[in-house]
Amino acid sequence: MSRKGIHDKVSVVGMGCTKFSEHWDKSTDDLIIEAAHEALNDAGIELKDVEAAWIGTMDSGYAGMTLSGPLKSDYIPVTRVENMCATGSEAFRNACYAVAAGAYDVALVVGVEKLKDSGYSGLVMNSSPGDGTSPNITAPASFSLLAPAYFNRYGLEAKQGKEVLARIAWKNHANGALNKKAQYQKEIPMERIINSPMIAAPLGVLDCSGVADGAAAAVIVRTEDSKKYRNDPMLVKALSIAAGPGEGMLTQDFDFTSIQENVRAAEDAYKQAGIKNPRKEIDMAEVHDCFTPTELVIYEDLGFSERGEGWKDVQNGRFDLKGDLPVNPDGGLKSFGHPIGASGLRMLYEMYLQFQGKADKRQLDDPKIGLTHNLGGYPWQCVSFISIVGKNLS
Amino acid sequence: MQGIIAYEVYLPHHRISKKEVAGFHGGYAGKGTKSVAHYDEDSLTMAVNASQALGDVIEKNQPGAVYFASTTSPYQEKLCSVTLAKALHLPANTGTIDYGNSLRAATNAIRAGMNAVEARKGSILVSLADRRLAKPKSPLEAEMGAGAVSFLLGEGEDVLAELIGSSQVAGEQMSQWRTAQDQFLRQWEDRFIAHSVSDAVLQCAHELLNSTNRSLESIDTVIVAGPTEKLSITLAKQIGAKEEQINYIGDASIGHLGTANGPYMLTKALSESTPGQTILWLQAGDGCEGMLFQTTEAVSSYKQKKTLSHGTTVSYSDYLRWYELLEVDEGRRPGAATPSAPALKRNLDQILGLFGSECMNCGQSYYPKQRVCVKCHVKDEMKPFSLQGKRAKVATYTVDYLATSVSPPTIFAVVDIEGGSRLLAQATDCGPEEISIGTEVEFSFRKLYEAGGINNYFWKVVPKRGVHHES
Repeated sequence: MSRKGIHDKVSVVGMGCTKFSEHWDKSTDDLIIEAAHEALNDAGIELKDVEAAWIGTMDSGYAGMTLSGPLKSDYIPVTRVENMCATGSEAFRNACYAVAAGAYDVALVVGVEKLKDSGYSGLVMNSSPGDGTSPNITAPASFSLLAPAYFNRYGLEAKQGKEVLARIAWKNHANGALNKKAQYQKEIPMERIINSPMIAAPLGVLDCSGVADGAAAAVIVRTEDSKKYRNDPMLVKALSIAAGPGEGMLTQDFDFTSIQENVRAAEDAYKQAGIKNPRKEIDMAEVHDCFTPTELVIYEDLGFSERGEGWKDVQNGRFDLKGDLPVNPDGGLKSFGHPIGASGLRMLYEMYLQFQGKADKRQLDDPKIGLTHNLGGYPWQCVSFISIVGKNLS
Repeated sequence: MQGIIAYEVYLPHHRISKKEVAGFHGGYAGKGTKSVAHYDEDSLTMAVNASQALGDVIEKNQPGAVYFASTTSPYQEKLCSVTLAKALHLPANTGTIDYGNSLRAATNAIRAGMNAVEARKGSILVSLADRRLAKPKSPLEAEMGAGAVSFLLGEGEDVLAELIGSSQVAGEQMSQWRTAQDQFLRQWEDRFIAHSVSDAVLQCAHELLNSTNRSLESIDTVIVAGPTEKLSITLAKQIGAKEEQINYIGDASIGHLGTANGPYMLTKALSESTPGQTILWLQAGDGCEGMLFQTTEAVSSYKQKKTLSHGTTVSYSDYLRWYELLEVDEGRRPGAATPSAPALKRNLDQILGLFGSECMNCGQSYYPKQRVCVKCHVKDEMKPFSLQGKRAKVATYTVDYLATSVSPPTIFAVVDIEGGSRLLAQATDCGPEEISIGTEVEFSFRKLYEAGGINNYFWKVVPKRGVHHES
């Protein structure tokens, strides 16, 4: 893979994010308006300054009108983007490219999802008509396939493996407890996580991300223009996304201890950003912890841990808020909640706050390089997105 | 020589004890158990599983027609024999006929099959299956089992049992019946049936023995397949058969299999026969039909391939849910969408025949079928590749408590197939403790769900269990 990328060409100069929650009293429109205006205010601009917009949502609206309707934008181009759980990141990526290309000077990206109006438990996705023979496996069950495979390959007893997974959920809840915008702002004892009701063995309900409504937004400009808006913009160093051909469920080469799309997206992103040793060079990361085994596998796929060593790094606290490489300092999908279309932008929002020193009680010690990772689909076939963002030009 | 070339039996994995049934309703508990179809089994799925076990015999003999017989066809209007033929990879010009409406559907189908063999129409596959329901608390409830039997009829040296003669007697009476709207089997008083059916059975036996110049005493095995187990014995005695001649389901472990009941007894008689023995089968049902078979040398070397499950005992509450006798909450998840008829049609071979594809360039096989090879990226160089009968083992698995199911949790297994392909399959007839990485599994034809009036049939996997034959 050799891609030039748009290293440092664009920057984020404004961001907004609603609280992620069961917003019984707010509509999709309300959430879009709230996040978009927070981002515009933060950038010190008005909607009329925006030349093009992208709206990312999986199922909460169709077409650009999802955004132009509630915001009353003035006939500017609006593109509605969907890429499963990586939808928000994908909307961001496309907006960045349009600005980098010089087609627009100022772009607005909003990601939104309204999950709690459906009355369903867990995540339910609209599907196109088919022969109906695809297994009706749920999202937690599909990702739980990683657990026995990982435990088996690296010799973890079932109980030991369950503790490693619980440790990941525990960490993300501890981080979320420090975040006023998170869905769950409470530490949860290990014991309770381990004994939570079974959803998809070996995963209990507390191994699963929160189902929430929410929206997040960003204002993107070219880096050369960024100082017009603020002194502390966030620079975009790499954007990558890998969509898999589905090898994982077609051949026997894939052993469910890794997600190939993650590996490919990471290779591409590191190349664009000039990163040689991610374990050392990345100061913080927000990754797609939809379920605890996903986060475990991501550590190894992204080179944060050696193969088969991720579980040890979990136990020695490497990814804790005070560890060498804090992962999901804002609480992650687990504790911040996972309104699909908004999540990718929410991850970037945390990077943005951390670089600006605005991350409150979870503020890290002057991080300079951050990574966001957002995944949509199944462990055997998915889209995997990675961004590398930074505080300074490099 | 014309007759039965091969046979296979399929019994569901589950049993319920008559004591368990009586325990719920109160009252007298009979002895033994009955076979219970799982929530994903119906007469058609059981018929496919029994027939599929005939595997290489079907391949060798290429039946000219498939006959399906059942009083509990899953469709009022739609041929199950057509689905059956497709699942067995038989060509479109294979004859397909469904028989029903009476327990005599069994002999109707077999006699018609034998007529076709005599008319030189090639070998004929006959599959008989039932999953009858009696009203909860009725005396019949604890007896109505579920199961399927498939025969391959034909001619030549491979015939195990030759058909010597047949006879039939019509008997118009209300003994067992269902209206077009009835879910449950109706039955008149036992003693009346014993009285009224016996005339037809007697006449039928008499005519058959006369036309074949045999005496009842000369017959080695007498099968009287009556409306119930008890009546079967009563009727056999009424025609004068001696205790040692009578073949019936002695320990009542599986119950009455409806249309498959007489055929099941016939397979038991065949499996216990030595060459040159005679088997008289009298099938009651709106009269009676008789068939006289004589076994050949080939009978002694014949072995059934299908593993007969001894079964796992289930509770009455499971039984109520599986047979949809109890309405249960589906949980806060969307219901199954109606399968698209065009999509079903496009993927017919893939769904029913379990055909994927194999790359002719690099040899990698796939399920479902692919047009572009993920290994060598060549386009449209695939040939059909069926997973049926292939060795398969679990690569990883999960136990899904959230997925909508009549019988949660749902076990999903990533299954690696001999030859290099892989698929995500639902495991059935087993608990989570029976599935782990490396478990060997085999395919079983099931109904995934019903939506919009469409029974969506597909294959699931079951753990490969040791060979046991019901005794």
